[in-house]
Amino acid sequence: MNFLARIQRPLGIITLLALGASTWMVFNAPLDFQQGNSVRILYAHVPSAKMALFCYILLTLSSIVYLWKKNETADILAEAAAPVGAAFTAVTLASGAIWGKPMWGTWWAWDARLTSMLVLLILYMGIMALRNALDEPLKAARATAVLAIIGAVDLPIIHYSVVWWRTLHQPASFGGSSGNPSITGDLLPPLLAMAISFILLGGYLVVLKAREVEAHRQLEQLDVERMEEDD
Amino acid sequence: MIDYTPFVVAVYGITVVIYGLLTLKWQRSLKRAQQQLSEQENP
Repeated sequence: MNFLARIQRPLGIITLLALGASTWMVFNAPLDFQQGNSVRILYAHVPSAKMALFCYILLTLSSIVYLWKKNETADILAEAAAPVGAAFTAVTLASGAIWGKPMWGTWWAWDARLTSMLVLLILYMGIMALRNALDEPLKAARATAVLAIIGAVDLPIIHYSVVWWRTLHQPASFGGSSGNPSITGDLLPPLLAMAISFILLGGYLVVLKAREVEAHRQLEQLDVERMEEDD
Repeated sequence: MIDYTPFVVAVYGITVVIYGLLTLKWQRSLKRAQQQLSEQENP
């Protein structure tokens, strides 16, 4: 965890610079011939969606490591990844709805991709609520790890929803089955820049939250030790 | 072409508010917890 304390500040500065540069690229990119200005929404939407999935992968891997090795650092990372992933999922759903209104004519549709993303948000909320509901830390860590691993079944459903079902949502912008990006070359550099910035942002938020969780656990441990001394 | 600027502003506004507030909240919470820790360890 000392490593996280060392990297937090430089990572925060690099993230801010990357976000500034990629935002400049987004607002200087050419407009889409059909979507016009609204294509700029996708530069925030697509990277947020990718990070929502990455955070859940981190949550699942940390949960597996915790159950296997009983490693507290893995549990701290799992606890930190959940709210960060929930924030990315919320931004994905909100930006998708705001883009959907002018482009699809509706804020929301019970489409396979949209619904599976909503399930992801509910999973994140459920995992956080379960951890808060259980007083015993070890029991809370075990229960949330099991729920997170079971919930990982939603990840392939989200990724392949646009392939398996006929959806209103378009196929993947990049990382699709063909392996080639489906968007035009002019729009790709700002999207990639924003994706890198969001990876840095996600990393910074996980590091920050993990340090906060660790500090609170140390405080609780001190309280327990003090109460035992008093007894 | 229709002007979609309000939609774009709404998305970037929501994005900045959500990530910005989370960052500030956790930074403050971390700082407060670290202060309490140092007070308890060195009373």
